[in-house]
Formats: sequence, C-alpha cells, structure tokens
Amino acid sequence: MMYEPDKFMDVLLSRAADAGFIQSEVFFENGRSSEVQILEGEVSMYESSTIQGVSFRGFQNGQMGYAFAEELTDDSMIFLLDQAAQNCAVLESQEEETIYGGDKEYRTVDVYSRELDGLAFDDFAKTGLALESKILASDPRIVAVDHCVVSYGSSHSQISNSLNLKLSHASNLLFVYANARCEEEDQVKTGDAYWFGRNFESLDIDSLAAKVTAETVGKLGASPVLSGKYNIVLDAMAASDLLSTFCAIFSADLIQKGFSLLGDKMNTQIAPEYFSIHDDAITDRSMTAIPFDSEGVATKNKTLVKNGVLIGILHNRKTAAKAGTQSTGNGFRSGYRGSVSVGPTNLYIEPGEKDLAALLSQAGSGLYIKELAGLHAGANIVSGDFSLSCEGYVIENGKIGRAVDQVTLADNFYLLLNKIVAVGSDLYFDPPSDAGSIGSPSLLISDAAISGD
Amino acid sequence: MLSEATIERVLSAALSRGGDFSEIYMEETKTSGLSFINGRVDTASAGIDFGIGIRILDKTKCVYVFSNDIREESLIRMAKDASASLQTVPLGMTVHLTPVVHFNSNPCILAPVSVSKSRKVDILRRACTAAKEYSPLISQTSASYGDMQKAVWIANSTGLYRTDERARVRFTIEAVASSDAEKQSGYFGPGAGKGFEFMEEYPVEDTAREAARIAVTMLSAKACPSGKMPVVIDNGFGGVIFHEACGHSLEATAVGVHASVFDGKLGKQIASPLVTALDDGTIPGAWGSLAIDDEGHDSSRNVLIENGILKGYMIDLLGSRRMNMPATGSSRRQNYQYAPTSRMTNTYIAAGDTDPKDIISGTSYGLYAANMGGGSVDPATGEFNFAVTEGYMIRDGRIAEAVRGATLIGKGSQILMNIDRVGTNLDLAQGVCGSISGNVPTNVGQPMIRVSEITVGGRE
Repeated sequence: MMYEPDKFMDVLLSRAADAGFIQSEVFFENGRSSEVQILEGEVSMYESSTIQGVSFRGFQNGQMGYAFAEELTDDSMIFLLDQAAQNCAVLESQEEETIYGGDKEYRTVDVYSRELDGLAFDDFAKTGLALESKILASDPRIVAVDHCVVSYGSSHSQISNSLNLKLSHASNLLFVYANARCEEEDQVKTGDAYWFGRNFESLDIDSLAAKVTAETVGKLGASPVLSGKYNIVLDAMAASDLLSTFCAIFSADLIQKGFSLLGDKMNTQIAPEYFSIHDDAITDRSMTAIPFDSEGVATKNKTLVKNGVLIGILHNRKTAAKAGTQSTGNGFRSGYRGSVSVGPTNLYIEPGEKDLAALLSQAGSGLYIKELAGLHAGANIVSGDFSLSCEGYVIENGKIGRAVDQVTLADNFYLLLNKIVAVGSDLYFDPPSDAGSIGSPSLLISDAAISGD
Repeated sequence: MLSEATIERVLSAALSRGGDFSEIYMEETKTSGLSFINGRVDTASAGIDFGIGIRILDKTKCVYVFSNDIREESLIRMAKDASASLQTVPLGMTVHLTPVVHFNSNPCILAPVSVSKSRKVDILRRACTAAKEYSPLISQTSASYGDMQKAVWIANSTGLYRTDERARVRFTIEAVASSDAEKQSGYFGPGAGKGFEFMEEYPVEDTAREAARIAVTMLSAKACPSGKMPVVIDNGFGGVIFHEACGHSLEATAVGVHASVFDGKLGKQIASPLVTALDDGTIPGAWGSLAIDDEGHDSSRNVLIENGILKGYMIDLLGSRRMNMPATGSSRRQNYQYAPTSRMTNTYIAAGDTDPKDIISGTSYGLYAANMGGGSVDPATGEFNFAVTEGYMIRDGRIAEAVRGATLIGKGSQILMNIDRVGTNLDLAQGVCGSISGNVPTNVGQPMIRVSEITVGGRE
C-alpha cells in the first residue's frame, strides 16, 4: 500500500524504535515543477513533474546511518531500516552525530508565493514567447535565441524525529532565462541573462530582453589581450561565481578534516580591513531565507570575516560537538538523497561604497571581467589555485573599452583576497538553492595574471 | 511494475489529445555509497530511486512529465494533461506493444547489491593506506566508493517494449600533500560498467600512489607560464579535450537547432588528417556503454571524424526529426527526471602511428599535460576550457620541471586542425558528463597527442 507522508513518517519512526535505533529522524520532501522552452516562435518543450522522496537517519552502535527512498510503501520502510542499520555497522566516525530536540523559537520567513503557484502553462508560454520575440527584434546581429526557458519550482520539506520535533518549510521560485546567438563578420558570440523571483508582476520582459541582447552583441569584436599582470574589475556576477566555488573553505567539516587552509587562520587577517563576509540565513538583501537547517537547528545571521579577520566558520551539530561549540545552524542536506553536511545560507561579501563606474575609474586601465567559465574543473578548493577561461572588456582611461575573449585569469583564492583593492556597492546574489544564495559586489583586484596572446 | 495492458493504455492516453509519438520510461535504481576520510569510514548511504517519465512528441515539439506516482489512474491523468498541452488535433492512435525484449547492458559476476559493505570499505581502506604511506608529505586522504544497479522499462507508441539492467561501480581517491603554508591534491576516479568484480581486480593501491605522487610533485611545482605554446596531452583523461572541443558540438542537441560550429559541415575537413574519432557505446563493460539507449534503440559505434573529415553526428529521436537524419542510438538521460537527448558514450580519438617518446623528443619547447581535470564548452562558439592537473615543461625534447595546474582554452574548430601528432597509446578514462539531460557516465579517451598552439592559462 501507498502511505500518506505524515502517516509514513510516524510509522517509520515507531518501527525504527522497534528495530533498535536509539534515535531516529525522517526528512520528507515533495516538489512540483513546470517548465516551458521556446524555440523559433513555438513552445518546443513543456515539462511538468511531481516528485517526492524520504530520507531516514537512525542512531545505532554509536553511529548515524542513512538511507533514502522515493516510494512511501512498507517495502521502502523495510529497505530504509535495513540499509541504515547496515550503514551504522560499517561507519567509524569518532564524533557522535545526534538528533536534535529543537529550539524554543524559530524565525518566520515568507519564501512561498501562492500566486506564483497558481500560474499556468499559458502564463509561462506567453512570457517565453514574448521574451524570445523581443530579443530577436532587438538587434539585426542576433540570429537566434538558442535557449529560452520559463521554469517554476516549489519544494516542501518536513522533519520529524524521535525527540518529537516536527518542522516544515515551503519555498517556490520562478526562473526566466534566455541565451542568444549573434553573428558579425564570421564571429559568433552567445550571451545570456536571467530573472528570478516570486513576484510575477515585477518581471519586466523588455528589460530582460534588452539585457540578453546587450550581453550578447557586446561581445562582438572580442579578441584576446597580451599575457601579463593586470588590474581587473571582477564583475559582481563573476565574483559571486568564484565565491560559490571556494566558500566551502569556511565549512568546519572541511577545516576539521584538513581540506581547508583556513584551519589555523582563526582570528588572523586573511583579507584587507575593508573586506567582510556574512552568512545570513534571513536578510532583506537576499530573496532566499530559511528558519532552520536540515537538523532542525534555528538558523542565525553571522559574520565570518570582519574587517579582513576570520572570526567565524560554519558548523553543523557534529562539527560543533567536535569543536566544543554550538551549531551555527548550517547543517544542510542537498535534498533527500544527501546526508547532513555543512553548507552556507546567504553567504556574501559585504558591499562597499563605490559603484561599478567608480571601480572602473579607480582601475584606470586593465580588464573588466564579466564571465568566468570552467569553475567546476579549473579551480581546486584544497589548494585554492584556479585558472579560468574568462570574457569581458578592456578598461581604458577608467572606462569600458573593446570586448575581450580567449583569455584566462589564474591565481590562488587565498592570495587573491589580499589583492582586493576596493569592494563595490553593487551586491548581487546568484540564483538560490534551498538554503540560500551566494553573493558578491564587484571587486577591484590588482596584479592579476591574465594569459592571452 | 506496470502490466503491458496498463502501459498500452497510458501510451494511448498520451496521444488522446494530441501528439504523434508517446513513450514511457520507468526506472528503479539502487545506489550505495561510502566515503572514507583520513583513515575512517565517514559516511555510508544507500537509496532507491523509483519513478516514471512520459514523453510525447508532436513533430519536433516535446512534452515531458514525470512522477513517482505509478498508480494507473494517476498516470492516465498525467498522460492526458500532457497530451492536451500540445494544443493540436489528436490522430486517434491506439497503441499495441510488441512482445517485450530483455537486455542486460552490464552482466555482473558480483552484483553490487549482493556485496557486503565491509568488502566495499576494504577497497577504500587499501587505497587510503597506500596513498598515506607514499610520502610523509601526504597529510590527508579521501576516498569514495559508489555503485548502482538500474532496471529500466522503455515502451513507445510504435510498439517497442524493451527492458535493460545496468550496473556501474566507481571509486575515487584524493590525496593531499601539505607544506607549511600550502596544500596540493592529486585525484583519480576509475570506474566501469561492471559489477563489484571490477573493484576486486583493480590495482587500487597503484592508483592511490599515483594520486599521492601528483600531490607531492605539485607541492614543489612552480606556477605555469602563460600564453600560447605547443602542448602535448597524454592519453586517457586527456581525451577530455576532444569531449569539450568537439564532442558536445557534434550532439544533435546543438546541431539540430543550428547552434553548433559543426552544423552543415558533414563531409568537410574539420580536423587535422591525423584525427579519427569515434563514439562507441558498444564496448563491453566500459563505463559509458549501454546495450540500448534511453529511447530503447540499440547502442552503436559511430564514426564521427575519419582522417579529419566530419562523418557523423550523435543523434536522438527528436534530433533526427529536426535534422532529417537517422538516430544513432545516442539518446541518454540521468534518470526518469530528465527527458532524453543526444549524448556521448565512450568518445575517443583513435590511435595514430607516432611513438609517444618521439612526440616528446620532437618538441623543443612546450607544456606536457600528463593528467587532466574536466572542462566545459559553448557548442555555438566552440569556445572550450579544460584543466591540467599535472603539468611539466618540455625543454629541448625532454620533460623538465613540474608546473602547477593551468587551464587550456581555445576554439574547437581551430584546435582540431592544430593537432599535429597522434600517438599509439590509446587509453580511455572515466568521467561524468553534465548536460541538459543530467549527469551521465561517459568515457573520454585518446592516445598522446600534440597541439601545435593553444592558450595556456598560467600565472607567470
């Protein structure tokens, strides 16, 4: 038989106790998604889904074992309890991972829009079709819109455990994206832009289309620059991408296991005094907010780097127990398939005073880097080394000049922090995951190694 | 599981309000994974994915719906709603399945689910111990093991009904070497489309020591120089250059919508005459192999480039409709949560006739890329990047000092023409390729090659 989620969670917890688990917890998640893709004036693809999954974790023989399933049946319960017990039997963790009874209070968040949930296929199709046609009409050099996507996703998660904790959280988001292709004199360039949010009314298709076009045709005429050391302005979006890649170095889990070079840097200067990083679970600055982590610990707003000094790292309950401290509410799992690890909420670089124009002017000459590619491969979290393909523009006399492509930016993240000359005011957040977004303003960096001609 | 009668009713319902082709993809996947960090089992997990995807095509329009709810009434409702979204006139088709045909892509001697977790742990313990004992500079070790057994049922409105059983195992080892202020790491991740017997026969310790050797070597390496220079790329994972610089741009996903630099180039010279390249999903037991693809069609051996001439693309059903060319057994997806599309399987540059030693000795100055990481590409422009994880300078025909990882970038159409040496030592290596139908296991491969000029993203 197929169980309803609440019933499944209750029965599973009770059977876990019978099966000899001293503590146990069930994490249930269900989600709905719809997506429309537009190609050449038509809906080329419509995708829709309802999915669910359940993860069990149970404590036995001093270890916490995990298992997950997608069907809410008796067979799944047998599988979950058996596999979790088998996993407990082989684990050798020295620190105890335990279930949490909950906090007295949780902050409230509003990250679910009923109105958004009510949008239908026609709304998505109309939006996508309008976006595509506006981009195509905007500039004769635009020859195609290769990807034009309107995508909606909602997620609802619940935690229930043997210490009688019961929590639930719901969020949804609309994402609109287009990637255009332009041609001029045998040169082909692509560019993209996106919008995400919960207020459908605030989506301005004209300005999104204009942005896609500008990002695309702006690249025409691009060529490399000579290899050498340059002043660079790393655009807020590119800086966020770089921070996303390296922000795991603030995880107590990586630090305790020796995979982060921040291990012995607590209370030392790791960046200039005008540089700070926060991890704020709930902030007006970001569109994502989360009141508790995947262990049921109330989330907090905290500062990790203050005026260049490392003052905090991210903990879940297990790493906190090992360090003799409290969890910072950063015990997140990546959906029901994952186990509880350490992850950021809204982790971002504190914006400064200068806008982009002021940063470019301060740079005088150099490169304005708008996009980084190959972050999943060309960056090593353990060493901090990275070498990334990038695109952007030359900076001449403090202003944006011709387009640049086929160059790389190579450095070491830890060393780069100390080469930041100024922090911009234009804080930008990447598209969010469930727990939060990574954000950064534009950064002026000196003496950056560029490889090109 | 669904009865044939239910499948027929769902496939028919999927065409009841529009569409000319319907397809069901049902899947049950059992996975298990272990991680072993600094000498201890750190995490252990296991799970079952179970779900179904229904796809409807109306010429080149596509609707895809998926769910974990396989009750017939839910599936019929989902199929009818999907069909209605096409907003066309129904053709009035009723589906009759032909008798089911069973396949087994990866016959296992030791089915992964039947092997005890402690035997799997033993592999990781051996790997980490070997890496740790390689040098006192090795400060951290991290190993992981993962396996999966997947059963799929694929049926469509042409009457095709096929099932397949698939199995894969993989382990990864990362060794970290530390000095006072720095860390460097070395990594390998071998796997196969086989059962646990692959792990038992695999030289785990040798690979772990190789990872440790790279970490230690890179710790004392200098920063790589910048600029354009000749680059010798060694065999195995070096094939990631072809995967990024060319492979993705030969997928119908890009070619079918004219968003590929190689669109319209069939029969034309797109690479150096030394280059012959294939995508072969039929290699027995290989990491990227399949008996049937995710549309239920036989996997095949596709010649992509022969002596530099473009011979073929990798095409799925939707791509075949867009391109008016036959499908090539290249349709893949991560799981039921993705509509299938054209993807690579085992993709490689065929062996040439130059002795690798002669390639090095014939290079007066350049970079020798001994081991590679992953990369990415924009198929529309052909601009790609991929990372070198172990590099050395070549000076006067000899391998000289080690240099720290640098990314290589270029445009696929130019780089393929600039391949001026192809070695004899073909080897394949395992990767995970991400694209619009999710992450799929793919082999990359090549013998040692030399590219006469490529941009090296160094720091000096």
